[in-house]
This record gives sequence, structure tokens and C-alpha cells, in this order.
Amino acid sequence: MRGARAVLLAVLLFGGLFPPDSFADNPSLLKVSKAQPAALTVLKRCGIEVLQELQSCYIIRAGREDIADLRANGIGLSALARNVSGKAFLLVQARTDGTLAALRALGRAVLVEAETILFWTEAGDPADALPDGLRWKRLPDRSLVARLKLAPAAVPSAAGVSISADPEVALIVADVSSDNLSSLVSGLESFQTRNTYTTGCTDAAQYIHDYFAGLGLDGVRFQSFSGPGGTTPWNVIADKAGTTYPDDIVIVCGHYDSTSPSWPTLAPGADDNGSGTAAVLETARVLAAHAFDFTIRFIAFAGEEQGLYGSAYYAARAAEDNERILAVINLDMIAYADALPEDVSLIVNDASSWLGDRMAAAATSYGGLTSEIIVNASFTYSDHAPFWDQGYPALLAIEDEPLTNPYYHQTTDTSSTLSFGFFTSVTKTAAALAAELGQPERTGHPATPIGLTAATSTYSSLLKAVKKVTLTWTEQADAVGYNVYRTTLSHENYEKLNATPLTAASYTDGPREVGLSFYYVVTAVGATGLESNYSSEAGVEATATFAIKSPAVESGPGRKAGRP
Amino acid sequence: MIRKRAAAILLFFGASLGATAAWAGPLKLALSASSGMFFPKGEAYRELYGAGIPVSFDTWLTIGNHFGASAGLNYLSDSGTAVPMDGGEDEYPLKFRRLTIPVSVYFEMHPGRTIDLRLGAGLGVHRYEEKWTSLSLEAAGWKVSPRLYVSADWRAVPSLARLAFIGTVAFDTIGVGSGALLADKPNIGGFQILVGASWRLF
Repeated sequence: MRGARAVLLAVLLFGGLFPPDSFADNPSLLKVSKAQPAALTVLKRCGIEVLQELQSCYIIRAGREDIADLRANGIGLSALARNVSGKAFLLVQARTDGTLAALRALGRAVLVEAETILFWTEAGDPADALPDGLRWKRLPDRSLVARLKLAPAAVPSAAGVSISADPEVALIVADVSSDNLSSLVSGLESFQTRNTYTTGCTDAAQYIHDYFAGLGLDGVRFQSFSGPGGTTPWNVIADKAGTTYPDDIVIVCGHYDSTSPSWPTLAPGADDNGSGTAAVLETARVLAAHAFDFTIRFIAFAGEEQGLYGSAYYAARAAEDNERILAVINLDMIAYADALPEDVSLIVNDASSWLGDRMAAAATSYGGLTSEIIVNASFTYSDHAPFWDQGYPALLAIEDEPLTNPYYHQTTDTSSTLSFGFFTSVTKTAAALAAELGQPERTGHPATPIGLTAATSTYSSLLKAVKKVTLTWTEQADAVGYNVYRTTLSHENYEKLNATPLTAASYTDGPREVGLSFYYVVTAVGATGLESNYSSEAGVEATATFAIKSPAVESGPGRKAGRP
Repeated sequence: MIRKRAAAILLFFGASLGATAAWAGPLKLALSASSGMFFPKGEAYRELYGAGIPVSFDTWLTIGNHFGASAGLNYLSDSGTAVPMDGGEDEYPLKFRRLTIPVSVYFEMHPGRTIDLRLGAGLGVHRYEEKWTSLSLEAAGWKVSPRLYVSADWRAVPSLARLAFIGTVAFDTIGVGSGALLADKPNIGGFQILVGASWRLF
């Protein structure tokens, strides 16, 4: 009896000190499998914080109310870490069976999926506890759920795109020079080290800045950010401003910092990533003399080797500023060939699969190169990943995945180990894709249409719903008609909808069932019959066709903003 | 799969009925035709189609004084217009049809000399389809669901003892698969109030 009283007293005391609500604000990290078809729809509609998309799952941060909502909607969850407020987390690539055990000796580690480990320490920055030689990325602290799209199922890369070589683009790409690439890599090597902690990094930034400025590019600038260990390194940015859509941006980028075991004095980083940086500079050179509809932005990032600092800063600012980034082409280690002929690996996530298809087509058409598209949202260990985190389409071009370069992160990573034929082909491919996406202006063709908007009307019956899309755009004097194109996969495989050119600057498509996303572009047709470039794309996202159950809503108090 | 289940259910009812008949003795068989109003249970259905007019044909086999079984055919057709979800002004006419084979057992009471009252429970095997008549778009499916009813016969004309007026209140709840934007799992069931006539064969 006395024992029971003591237990009751303890319960009352504990309950008084720690009422249930005191736990509610300290959320957990959980894994939501993508194998659940409704997972993303429910996450979006319930306003759950999605911190990371991986290939097989989402990593979410959720409190008890969120978890109840998800369970009420039939979404299965598994816990990764509890009470996560104020802690930093890393995603570490698990390349060997021993990685997980090694990390558990250094802190807390849990296997999220086959090759991805979540690692953290109870205090301090977990990055400080990591041994050298691992590829890792910080788990974002901000939710990307609003930017995730209900994408169609990944299209097998074999589907590809059929794009014949554009003579205008081929002419531009022909200017890519192996000698220039060699000279640029040597120039970057000459700093001995470009490690973010060293003045060599600053000197290299100045070199890149001066190179951009010498090309006459627009808005050549440094972007300073808070780097590792209290450093304030620079991203270097330059634009080839678009003539029709200056606010729509195609990014060609690579990191210019380097590392090695002797990084304070020697980290030549010819392949990693003098090659990617040189390709960005050479692409800038060959595109600088031409005019494009869309802005092409060239960026050299710093702080990559310490955890993608530069690109993470840029991508986060871009998202805050609602920058309209059409595509990101990240070049990282593109010049070492373990065997010839070498192919290039193109790493994309589901939402960027179109970009992989486009670059694979460009590799064939302009680079004389074969490629392998790898759809793997878990490959987050280069500067494309922070763009994925913000919902932008991004691609990583890399010589091999997994890496085969024996000089990787060594003092022996010098230009003498590079294959300049392969390197030139990859650079031509990147330059061609940037030019295609930027759309070169064409003499004698009508101007590219602007002002395309897509308004939707949705109607529902008991068992089906349809959507009607009304497109309008700005009329232009040099056009005698317009063509409208539609695709279900952004930026590829457009199909013309009208048999003869439209005379009015509007078009109605549908109604069609709501389960698919549609993307539209418009071209103008001139008096001579020549057709303009595509307008900027207007998209209509798929609509989920089921209702969300929310206990939090039904219970009234505690309803969260943004819930249905 | 649903057809197999329906066949199994019918077989079960048939076997049960045969066994009961063998045990209970005298049989009474009547046919009825009725119509009336359908009041949908589901809010989405109500919004789209409102109340409807069903038609029903049934057979009633009473075994002994109190027990029986019934089977029949129930048809419901409704028209409506698709609901604009975001202010659109177009009209898309819809046609909804439901054909039900109700199978049930009932308990019969005799509160008066000319009145029989039945309380029944069973299953309905439903075939439903919805068409957007101005578009080439339709959805259809099968569903088996529970069914409850109260039915009464009134032999109002003494000289025609085989004829009776029949009144039935039946309830089906029919949640169907994945819905569209109006409801997750729309319910196409509801109450039916039917009146008609029945004719006793023996």
C-alpha cells in the first residue's frame, strides 16, 4: 500500500514538473518511406517539416501532433533521433560496412538507408568529430516541403530525349579549347593550395573574378559567407544576362576550393575540382560572345570540402529571394579517366531527371561522349545537393561514381594525371546544355514570346476530377501566329498541340484528368514561317485526389497554420 | 473477385432457404414492383446529384409464419453537374447509374389481419458507373455492402387477397474506392423510401 502511494506521488510529482505539453515542442527526426504513394501529398498537406529527400525516403522533423496526423492518414514512420532541438546532424555516405561502427565510436549514428548514415553528437559540431576521407553533408535545418513537387514517377533514362544538334549551339561549343582548359587548370594549381582555410583560396577567388571580368560578363561579384572555422570565404559569381528572360537563370557551377592531407601548404586539386572550375570558366568564355534568352550564371563555390558551405549559402539565399533557377549544372571532378573511352556519370534526383536526359542528349550530340544517368537523391555530397534541398532542378556531372581517381584528395592530384580529351568533351557537353537551356538568339526568327501564364479551372464529380488550362501570353508584332507545346515532364519531349499556327495569344487545353502535371511553352511564328525559341515554361502541377484526415483539426485547439 | 463473393453469398442464401423450407413447411412467394425516393447519405453525392428516383423489383419467399428471404433488382439513375473547385464557370453534365442486386433474410410479423411487417438484413451487390457525358470520361466499379430495411404489405382489397400495397424503407451504406476531389471515399448509398404493389403467387 505504501509502495502504491509512493508510485502515485511520484507520478503526480513527475506529471506536475513535466506536463505532457512540455514534450510536445521537442521534435524527433523520422524517416518516411517513399514507397508509400501518398507520402509526399500527406506531408505537404499536413505541413510537416521535410528536411531531406533521399532516394528511398524523406527525413522529417515532427512533433507528437504531426506524428498523429501522419498516422491518421496511414503514413508509416520510423524514428531516427528524438529530442533534436538545437542539435546539428550530418548525412554521411556509408561506403564500407565498417563506416557505421566507426561513426558509432565517435558519436551517435543510425543507418537511414543502404548508403546513408545520420550522424550527430550530443554537443558541439559533429563535423569536428568526423574522420577525413568521408563524404558528408549537413542535414538542412529548414523545411523544403513547399518546394517538393508531386513529381511523376522517374522516367527511365533510356527514354531519353531526341534532340538533334542545333547548328547555332554546335558553333558555340566548337570554340571550347583543350589548351584553354589545360591553361586554366594549371593556373588554379599554381596557388599550391586552394583550401578554404588558406589565403590560396582567396587568391584563387580573385583569379576567377578577374577572369570573369575579362570576359565582359555582367555583375561579376564576390559573395561572402560564413565558412568553416570562422572563415569568410567567397563564392565568385558572373552573369551572361538574358535578353528575354533576365530573371530566369541557368547556373553552371563548380567548387574551386581543394583539400589534401597537406592542405595548409599543398592541395593542387587539379581534378577535384580544378577541372570543374576550369570548365565553368571555359564555358563562360565561349558563351560570353553570344546573346541568350535566359540568363546564364557562372558560379565558383568555396567551402565545398568542409561541407558544401558556399553552395548551401547561395542556394538558401536564392530560395529566400525567390530566384527563378531553371537548372543547375554542377561540374565536380570531370577530367580523370580510369579507362578510355571514359563516360561521364550524371547524377540527378527524380525531379531533375529531365536535366539528366537533356545532358545525356547533349553529350551525344555535342561532346561525342557516352553518359550514364544515375537517379539517386541520396547522392548529396557535392554542390548540386543544396539546390535539391531548395527544390531546384540540379545535376552533378562527375567522371565516375563510385570514384576511381587514386589521387583524390591527395597532393598528387595534378594536371599530369588528367585526360584532356575526356575533359574537353565533358566541357563541351556542359557548355552545349547551358547554351540550349539559355536559348541562343537567332537572326531572322521572331522574338521569343513572353508573359505566358497558365490559369486552371478544376471540376470534380464523385469519382473523377478534371482540370482545364487556359494559357495566355503577350501578343507580339513580329508574329503571324503561335504554336503551343505541352509535356508531362518539364523541359523535355514537348508535343505541339495546334495543327496550324494560332492567331490569338491564348489557348485552352483540356479539360484533362488532374492526376498528371502539365508544362507548356509557346513559340511565335514569323511571316517567313520561321519559329522563335520557346517561351519560359508555365506549369500546372498534378492535384492529389484524396482528402487529408487531421485529428489536430478535428480536436479544434492547436490547429496549425497551413493545415486543411 | 466481387462476382465470386456475390455468387457465394447467393449460394449460401439458397442453401439456407432450402434447408429452412424443408424444416418449416408451408411457403409463400410474392413478387413486388415499387418506386419512390432515394436520399443519399454521402454529402458529396448529395451535392452532385441530390435525391433520386429508384425503381425496385423484388421476390419475397416466406417460409412458415415468420421467416423469409428476398432477392431483387434495384436501379437508380441520377443526373448532375460537376462541381467547380476553384470558381470555374463551365458546366460538365454527369450521369450516375447504380444497379443493385439485394439479397436478404427477414423476420415477418403480423400486427393485423391485412398487414404484414418485415424487418430484413442482407447484402447488396452494386454495379455503379459515373459518366461525364460531354467528355469521354467515366468511372465504374463493383461493391458489396450491407443493407437493412423495414417493409410492410397491406392487403387493402379483400376481394383480391393476393394483391397488396407494399412500402419499404431501406438503407445501404456504400463507400466506394478512391474518390476525386470532393471526398476521399464517397458514399453512394443512403435511404430509399419505396411504395408499390406486390402479388402473391402462392
